[in-house]
Amino acid sequence: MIKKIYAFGTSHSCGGGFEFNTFNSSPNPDIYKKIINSENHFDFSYPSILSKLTNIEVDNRAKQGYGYERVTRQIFDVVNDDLFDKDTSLFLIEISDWDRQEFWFNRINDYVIVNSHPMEMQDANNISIANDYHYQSYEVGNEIKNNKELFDRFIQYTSNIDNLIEKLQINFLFLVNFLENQKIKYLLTNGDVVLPINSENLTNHRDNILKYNLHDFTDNKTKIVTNWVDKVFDFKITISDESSQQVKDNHQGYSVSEYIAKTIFNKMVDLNYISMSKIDCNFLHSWKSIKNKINPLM
Amino acid sequence: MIKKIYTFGTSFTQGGGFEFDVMPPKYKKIYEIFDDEEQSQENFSYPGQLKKLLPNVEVFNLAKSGYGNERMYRKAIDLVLSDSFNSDDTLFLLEFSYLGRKEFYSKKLKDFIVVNYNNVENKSILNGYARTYRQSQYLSDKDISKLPSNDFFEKFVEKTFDENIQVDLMHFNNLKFLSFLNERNINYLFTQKPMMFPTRVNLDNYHIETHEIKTFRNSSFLSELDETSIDYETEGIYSDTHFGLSGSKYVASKIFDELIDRKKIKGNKLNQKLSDFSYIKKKIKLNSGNIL
Repeated sequence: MIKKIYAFGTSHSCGGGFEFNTFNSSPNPDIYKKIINSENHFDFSYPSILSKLTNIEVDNRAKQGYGYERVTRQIFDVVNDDLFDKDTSLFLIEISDWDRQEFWFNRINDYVIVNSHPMEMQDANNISIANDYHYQSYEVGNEIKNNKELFDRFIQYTSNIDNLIEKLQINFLFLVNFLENQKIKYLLTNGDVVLPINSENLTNHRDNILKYNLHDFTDNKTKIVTNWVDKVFDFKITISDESSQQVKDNHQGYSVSEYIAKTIFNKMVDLNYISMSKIDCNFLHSWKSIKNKINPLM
Repeated sequence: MIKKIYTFGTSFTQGGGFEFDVMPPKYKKIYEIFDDEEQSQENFSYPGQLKKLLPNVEVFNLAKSGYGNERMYRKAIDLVLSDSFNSDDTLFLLEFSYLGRKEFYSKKLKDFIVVNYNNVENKSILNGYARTYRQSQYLSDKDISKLPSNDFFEKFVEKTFDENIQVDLMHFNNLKFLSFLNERNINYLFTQKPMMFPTRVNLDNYHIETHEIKTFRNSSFLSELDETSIDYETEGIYSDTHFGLSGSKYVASKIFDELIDRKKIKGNKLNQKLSDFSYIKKKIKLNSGNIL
């Protein structure tokens, strides 16, 4: 039986879009307090919703803006923790894309993440760097600003799309083989990485990919997806869509996170990770219920 | 039975010290007396010598001076993904390195470069960077002209490298790589095993000892270096700490015996000792008058 859940990933796994009192210009998503009376973005994330459903403690290590390098690093931290028990733990891993590179930065004694748009990489204006996109201190922000040129130039000298993709693929292949070698239970919450040809026999991860039935409001059809992060904008199921533009944010709406948590819950029942009965898991039910709560007059 | 061997590692595997194209004539002359030896870096490396002991096995040396584990991971996965790869008849010989070697891609060179650094008193200090070390001045200048300045790399290393962070990264990368090799049933042996640190990862799953080459002192080919280096066999005429010709021959013979023990190849063990290669040092000494 699972007694602890660890979550790894990006903003999509840590309640991105539900940041309160952030230094950037986003207004507080106060209407969502009708759902959860909290100003902690983690409370709006699917791992937290899952924690409530299962009554299992969740250690959520996802962070806004960061990518697979942090995921890998955090996994190593967890398995090296004295309290980690692989037999009773489950890893939820959100696979992200290749356009995020992290660097240790001695001046702040912590990591920074560099997000860039590879097609426009020659232009430093398209490279954003942060230690924390929402809550970093003024001093940290200043250190990053003073050294931005160093990172800009490094990215411009070294960032090649094919090479970055290859790095992501190698990391993924090695990581899932590590998890299998160590017999660590894991589920991939947002699909996997597009792997090179000839790699079919190099992992056993495919059974660990979660599948979701999400609704695409552009053609009003329910579709099976694995990578929902890339779909929520197209399907019109973002926070903006869910809140009828009261909160402008392109992360998934709370109902998507609720549905994802329920899907994971039912998968955990199937895998005998918890001895509970399956629950109703229908995206449109969640969507309508949340919409009604936050848009009562619409 | 093994049909293909791929060797991975640093200058110690590549044949460092034997860059005949750019070696000062004085040092070249030392080894010209071995007229039955092809005067090439490949031949003077241990994989080159192993190739001669294994006429029915193809031996490919993928090591490169200055580079480290990151190149090894990249080259190994490239091979495993290639159409012709057959894990049953292929063996990887792995030389793991320590910190101080960080690989990056250069957009301008359209190739990888390595940045070498040292950690001194909690600071990381740049030692050098190159696509290829010990190549002609012309090629070296051509490469360097396409790379950022020394000043840039100095700052980058100083500001973004930290010894503890790099150790953690290297440690986990090594464990992930070994997981991949184990889970995919790829044959491999260590010429130099990876450095392991205290961890709660279950290391029993890696069976590290079963991949060691027991015919080496301390199961490490670098442990054999003291009495087999270029410096040793030339009595300091050519002060280079890589394997000498005697070293490459000795290491190759030990690997050969190990492969017999492991039934990876057919044949009789060579059972050669270090003293069997002392003729190399003697021959160099005899001719040193002419050389100097």
